[in-house]
Amino acid sequence: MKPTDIPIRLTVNGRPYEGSVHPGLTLLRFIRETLALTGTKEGCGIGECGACVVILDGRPVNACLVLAAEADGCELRTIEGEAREGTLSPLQQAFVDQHAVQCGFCTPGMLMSARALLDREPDPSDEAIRTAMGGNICRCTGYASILGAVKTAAAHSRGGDR
Amino acid sequence: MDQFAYDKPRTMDALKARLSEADPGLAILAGGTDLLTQIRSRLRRPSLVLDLKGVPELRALEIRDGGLSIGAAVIVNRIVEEQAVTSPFAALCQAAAELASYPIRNRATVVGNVSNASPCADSVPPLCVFGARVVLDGPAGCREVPVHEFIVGNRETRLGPGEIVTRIHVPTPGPGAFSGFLKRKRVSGHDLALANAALLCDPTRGLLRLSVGSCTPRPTLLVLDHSLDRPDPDEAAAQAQTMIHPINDVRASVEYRRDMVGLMVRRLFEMLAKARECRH
Repeated sequence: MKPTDIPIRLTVNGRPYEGSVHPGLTLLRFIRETLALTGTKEGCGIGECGACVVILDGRPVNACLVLAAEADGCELRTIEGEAREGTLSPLQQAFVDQHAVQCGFCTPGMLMSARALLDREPDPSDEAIRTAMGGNICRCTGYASILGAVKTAAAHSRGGDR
Repeated sequence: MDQFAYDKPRTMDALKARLSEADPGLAILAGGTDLLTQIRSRLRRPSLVLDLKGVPELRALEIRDGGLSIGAAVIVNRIVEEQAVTSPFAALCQAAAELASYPIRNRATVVGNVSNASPCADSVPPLCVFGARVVLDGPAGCREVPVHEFIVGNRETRLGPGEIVTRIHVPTPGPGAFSGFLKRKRVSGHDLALANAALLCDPTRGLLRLSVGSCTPRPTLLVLDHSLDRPDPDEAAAQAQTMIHPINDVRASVEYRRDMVGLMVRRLFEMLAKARECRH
């Protein structure tokens, strides 16, 4: 017997969403397939690479390990919500400026982890940055440019911008 | 993923009512960081996933009854963040900070880490040295089981039919107590422990306890209370190395694990000695 779909209501990048989801649908597939927001990537599907990191109720989480049904009543932020009206955020611009993007596959997850960090800790230590970003793997850059970009963005955000 | 139903009871009574149906295809969902990977790999094929995060009292992280009460829905990161209540439990805080990765810690729960009963669970050695107990609720009422007796093997616990772990109780250490946790990994980022260990020295309660993880199917607990006044790190390391049954796997060899256990035990005693120095 087919299990009943679960009704969910949440906000996605500030906008309300209402619908119902198959119980087995992960948040990752919901974001990519139901919402057609394909910025969030599937790298491993088991919570080890961080490519699918999104911000749920202010906390960065691996979307592959959350059921869409669990997001009922939550605030969801994806990479699509980072730029404002087509303008890259200072955090995104720092990634561009410091060559922290090569193939780009890890980048949305990296940005979400970094965004959540800067929202909770505007002046993070190097160690805090490494801890926050430690769940995001990159095969291309060797990480130095990514860490540099987050540091630059932190300094920038202390100057007033997000 | 598989065809399973999903339910999220809003009260403890409603949760217990569903549990009392004793559906063999039922899986409890807290953080989901173990369950979802197990469903994905077909290791578990539940017919019903019961989400306990809708029950408010299961989210409580508080001091009560002479200890720290960690509700079943309390995420690992809260142990790190809520230092006002968790700071006396240093070894547990250190373990929490090293578990998996930051985004995982925003979903994974301490109770889930214990209930999943992986031999490399990071919360288990600290909970064992603190003498923590799981608090169970079920058809026969409430009961408490020490963590080191609750886990009986690889992914096996003494959870009975229709029972659920509602919280873990961690007795508060006495004043002047020291505790520490170490974890050996292949990488500095997200990795399971190839070996981990926790030490508690609690002079006012006469306790010197050591627990080593990721080297045996069941939790280990070495009672060294008799040597509390004159701890012997080498003797403790030798005992720890003898009592474990490490395996060869992708993370490490038998020999390396045994070696690392000796190293960690000696380092934990160095940390203890340093803490004592600072106090005097």
